[in-house]
Amino acid sequence: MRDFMIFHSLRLWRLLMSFVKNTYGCINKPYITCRKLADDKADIRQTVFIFLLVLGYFILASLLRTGIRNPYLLTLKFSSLFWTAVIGFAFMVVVLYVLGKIVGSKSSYKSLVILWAYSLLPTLTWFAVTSIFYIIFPPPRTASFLGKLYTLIYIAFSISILTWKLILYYLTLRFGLKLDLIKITAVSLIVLPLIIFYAVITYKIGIFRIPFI
Amino acid sequence: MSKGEVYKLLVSKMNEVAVVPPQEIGFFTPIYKKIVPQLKFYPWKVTLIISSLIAFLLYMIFGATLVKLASLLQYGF
Repeated sequence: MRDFMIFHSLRLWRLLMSFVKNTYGCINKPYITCRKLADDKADIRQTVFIFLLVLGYFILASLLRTGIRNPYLLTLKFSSLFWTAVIGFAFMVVVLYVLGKIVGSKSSYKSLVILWAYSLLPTLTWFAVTSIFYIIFPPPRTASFLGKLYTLIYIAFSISILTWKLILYYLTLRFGLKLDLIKITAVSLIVLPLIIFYAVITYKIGIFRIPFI
Repeated sequence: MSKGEVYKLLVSKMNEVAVVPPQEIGFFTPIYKKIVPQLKFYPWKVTLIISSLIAFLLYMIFGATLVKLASLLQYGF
């Protein structure tokens, strides 16, 4: 029993270290890291840590938006956020896989799931930082000097996170679907309206103001 | 490290690098090959410079309206 626990703890530790290494790689060397993640030898189980981070973020967001006074509403908010994000993730993976097959890609769901899961890191970063800033510097911003300075920093931060997301999106298609730039552009022209559709639907039903994708 | 091990490492590295063919986009290929290595190997250097410039440019164009956008984005989570 003890050996069993030690063995599985070591496996979990190695998986965690692999996740931390790949996260660092996605930040500093996204091209090389995504190339390694698309490999057949990449372990899909490391994505569980990303889903745990997403879970943790949604707990924080639910608490911020709903408060702790009504546990029923809190649970409802958390469930709606989490399951909509899971559906959005599955939707993107399936759409990319199908569009990839249409343009002649040779891909597997496994590499797409791993790469698209890691592409959630910029999304998670932006949402987490925005939530924290909502507590520290609650909106609305004013047109004072400090308000404008905050605006410039926040907009620059948002654009850099968006750029990181676009880089990881491009690398998902490049290494996950093995497409060239022209096919990536063609796929993106179909994916973009679908993302806008998803964003509008989730906004209309009051789940996400900005899509968690 | 023996020669056999070095050879195996080189072959595995070559297989890793050759997983996708090099990008060819016709007339724009030289421009692509100048710009993309910056994003490949120094993504944050390029990203932070460009995002700061864009934020500043947006502020010069939209002025105080950008402050309202920042407030809207803060509600966006």
